[in-house]
Amino acid sequence: MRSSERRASERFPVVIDVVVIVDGSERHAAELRDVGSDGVGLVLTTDKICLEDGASATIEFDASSGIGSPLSGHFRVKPAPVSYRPNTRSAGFCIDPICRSSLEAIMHQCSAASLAPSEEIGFLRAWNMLNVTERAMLKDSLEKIGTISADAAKIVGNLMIDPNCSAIRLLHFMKVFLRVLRANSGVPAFHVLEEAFDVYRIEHSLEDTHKDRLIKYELGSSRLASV
Amino acid sequence: MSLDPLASRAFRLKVVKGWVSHASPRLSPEDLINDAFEGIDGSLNNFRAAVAARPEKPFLGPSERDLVWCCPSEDFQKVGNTGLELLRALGTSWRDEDVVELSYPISVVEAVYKPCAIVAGANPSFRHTPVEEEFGRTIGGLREMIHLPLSVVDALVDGASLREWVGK
Repeated sequence: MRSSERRASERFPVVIDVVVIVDGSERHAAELRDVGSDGVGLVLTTDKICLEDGASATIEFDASSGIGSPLSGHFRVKPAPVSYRPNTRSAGFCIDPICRSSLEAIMHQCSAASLAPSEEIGFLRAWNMLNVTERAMLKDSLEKIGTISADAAKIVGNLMIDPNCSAIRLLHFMKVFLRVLRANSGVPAFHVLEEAFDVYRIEHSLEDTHKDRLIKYELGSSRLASV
Repeated sequence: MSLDPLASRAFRLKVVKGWVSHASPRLSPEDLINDAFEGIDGSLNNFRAAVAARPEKPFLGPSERDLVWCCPSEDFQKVGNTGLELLRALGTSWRDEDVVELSYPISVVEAVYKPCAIVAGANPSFRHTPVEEEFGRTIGGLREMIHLPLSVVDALVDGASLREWVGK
């Protein structure tokens, strides 16, 4: 496969907050979920509009994303999977040729060191809320920890793939981890991780509890009662 | 008999003795604990009264600011018979100690949760949270769950019990 063909097939999972402008005036909050050479994937925050296949729109980026140029193009919308919920929130977005260089710049930004080490949506959302320096520090440390031992690799893997970790909880933890990391330069990365867990437990564990998955353990009594 | 599912936690014997160190002169801490182990009528109430007499309320977690880690009681029953086997199953670093199991109806807590990877990582004994399972897992393979802080007194309701796990 030639490098240009390989490049053409690449898609990078991301979460970037954007505003979608439809019909030149309607503004809707959305998330960019992936970026590829032929366009981007979008998920609208609400289902208050009905996306139409082929409709033109513009995507604007927040200044904090570091992406300056808006993207213009048109939606590629699949038919709604169920008739009782016709408004689909997710769509593909084909980029106009005039925006090709902007898309290339976004792909370059997504494919370099700032590419998230996980594709789990909560992790990606938290990652999106870090700046470039924080991402590089975190990625480097997590990679180092993952090579220390099987147990360390398991702990890091759990952090990246656990769907029970909401983005805001992960963000709390990432910020704590980075704070401890900065205050302990030269300390082995796994010790930093353990210290970060301790600080997180004190500062956030109770506040974050209600985002954990509820266990329906009480069903045990109803099962017994029905015997 | 209560149909409530029970949650269990393991404590060092010396910790449980500390809970009842303000026992009345009529019953020593050892008497209170042994009576509760044997399930003598009224023993749980006596034990509870002694815990309530402490000036500082003990909690099931390390403090009143900590989440409580516990297991479904039926998982404890599947472990062998000695405290050593229980400690291995839990994955604690304690060794050769007498252990007390406090089991309490899960209805005394608002809800139990599967801890996320971050919360589990903060406890060296409970670091594995399999994505595909409803519960987390201890290092030793027991199902585990967490709930909000709960005092020992509040856990000692009807249906609660104490069980002795001898170290060796």
